[in-house]
Amino acid sequence: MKVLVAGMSNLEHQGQQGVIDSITSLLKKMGVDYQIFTDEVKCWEATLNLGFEDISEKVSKEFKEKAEATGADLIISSFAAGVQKWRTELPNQYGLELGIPYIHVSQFIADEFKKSSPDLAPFPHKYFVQHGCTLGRKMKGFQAIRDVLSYVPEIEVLEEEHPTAELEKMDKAEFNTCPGSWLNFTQPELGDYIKENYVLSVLAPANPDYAGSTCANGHYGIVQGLEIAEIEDIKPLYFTELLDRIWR
Amino acid sequence: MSEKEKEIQKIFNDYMAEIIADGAENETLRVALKRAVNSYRGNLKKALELFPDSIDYKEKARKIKEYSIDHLEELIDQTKKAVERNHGVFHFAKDADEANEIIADIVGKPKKTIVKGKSLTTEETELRQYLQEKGHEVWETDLGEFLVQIRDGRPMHMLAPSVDLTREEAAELISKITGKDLPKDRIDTSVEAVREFLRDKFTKADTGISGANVIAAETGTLFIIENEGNIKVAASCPDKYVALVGVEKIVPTLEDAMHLVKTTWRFANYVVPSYVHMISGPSKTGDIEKTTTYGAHGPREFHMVLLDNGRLDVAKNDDFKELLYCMKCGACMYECPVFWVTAGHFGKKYPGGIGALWDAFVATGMEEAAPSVYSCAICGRCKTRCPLNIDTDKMIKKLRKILYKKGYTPAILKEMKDTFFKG
Ligand code: SF4
Repeated sequence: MKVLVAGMSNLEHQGQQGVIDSITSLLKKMGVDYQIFTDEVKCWEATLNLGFEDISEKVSKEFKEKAEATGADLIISSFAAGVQKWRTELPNQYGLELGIPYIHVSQFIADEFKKSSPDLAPFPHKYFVQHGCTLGRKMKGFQAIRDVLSYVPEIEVLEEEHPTAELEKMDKAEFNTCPGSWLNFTQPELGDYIKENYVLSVLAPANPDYAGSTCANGHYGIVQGLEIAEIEDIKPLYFTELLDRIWR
Repeated sequence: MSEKEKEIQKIFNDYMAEIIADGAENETLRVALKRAVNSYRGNLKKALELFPDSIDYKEKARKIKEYSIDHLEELIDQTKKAVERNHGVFHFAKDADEANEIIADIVGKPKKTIVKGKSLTTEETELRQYLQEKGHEVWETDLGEFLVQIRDGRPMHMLAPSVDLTREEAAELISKITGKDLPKDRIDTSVEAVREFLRDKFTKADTGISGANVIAAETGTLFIIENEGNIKVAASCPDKYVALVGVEKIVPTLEDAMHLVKTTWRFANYVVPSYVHMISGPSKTGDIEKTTTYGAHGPREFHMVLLDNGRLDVAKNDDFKELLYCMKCGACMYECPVFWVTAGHFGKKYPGGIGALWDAFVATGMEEAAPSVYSCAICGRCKTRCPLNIDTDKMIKKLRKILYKKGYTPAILKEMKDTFFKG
């Protein structure tokens, strides 16, 4: 099975080299036949969110053509938006169907771990997971990351608590706070206040050693937020970075 | 940059300046919001523990709204007939100006005293300011709204207009207007001072004005939820009572109305509100010879002013009619990350992501609403919280397409489009 890795150009644009390196390193360690999607339009999914209708169909088609031309059997990405766009928005709005299954990297790793358990070194730390809004709340993709982290010896997984989620018969991750990377991007003047919204209100009170979002975009928000808040005790660590670090 | 683009950019710049100056740089404001969010969650938890069946209300509430918005014109007609049958006066205002004029006519001349209950619809039409300009003495009687009035501010939340004030700031404002030196660390003394101050206004008032949460078309009955009792007095003491209500508040039956009222108060975080008023007409008595005589102890005149202001067009628009399902319970705002970050400055007249949609289609128009529409993080937490499951982020995305076509996109995003997406 040949795997096409999407979203890497956007990770590069955001300066998330650690995430890029850990994904490729992990895929190698897992023995996956992969190819990086190098000429993908950066952040093309955002055109759909921003209403740039004149180009969103064009860039989506471009993605489809280029992806299908690679001959890949599966596309994976650390960003959830692309997965969702191809699942619902693009088929519904433009009648566009992608000829290749497209899943989030957490799902891919969870599926691979089910086939063959990884040998991971203990990680005796508190790790806070933010469930990205698209992957979590909108696609109900909460379980894959929980499954993946369940293979990590000695890890203590922390999640954002919500006082009424259980009473409302919802997964607590349905209420996960957005770390605000979008707002920071569109209104950078508010960057300072991302720390209030997320870091100081949600992340710091949980007192983790490390924190990461399932979605690379959310993770970018965490990285920025911790930096702005000048918090050094909590280290941003994307789950692929974590796995890569403890892989034996 | 063309003149038009400069104009659009100025709207964005003003919005940013407002957020930064009044909101984001204001430490006490963030403290107040944090306290409010925690209280909301705690109160809702308590309410849901006591009444776990509240979760089941939601589905039926949505069905009622779906039906009502699809049959709005029919329901308006039914409401009109019922109000007239009840010896009330029915008015229909196509826009905000017309609503204000109708109400000014009802109030009459010369200078009158008017007591108002909290109402987003009157904020939409800027009724208080309009009546004040006509020379009337108008008092907001909801405590939060009273605080908005005396500091010449804007409501920060649908149900808690002064959610951005700390107890210390509130005490200072109230001390100023009442001339009392109130302790800053206490809330009860501030409440007592306002109670005393407004008593006199209530007894002197010629007209009481409020909004309503729901209207039952079959009987023309207004349902009004409140805790303070100010609307109870404002709708009972003066000679005239006027309700200004958006047409989307109408539902077919009394039972439907009660169901929505219950859903609204529960997700507005009340175990039970102190009052739910049902008002169907002027005060009346049949105590002598069973002959109905109007004008007993309560208002002699009952006026219902239904406001369109774009709502009827939205009701026919399949992409956006869902925004009319909103009951203004305010629940979504407590979970909205942008509402926190912008310290309440998210939305112009109607707050929050759903408020940005209301602003665009009803209250302010698209140009003014654009900065809020682009502020939304489309994280979807509002949908999770909303008892009616309103898909705000889906509508925001659709609205952005319209704004983009109209040229209301901010410069930073246009630049992104020109550089980023070229591939
Ligand atoms: S959108 Fe939903 S949660 Fe928000 S105010 Fe309206 S009804 Fe309440």
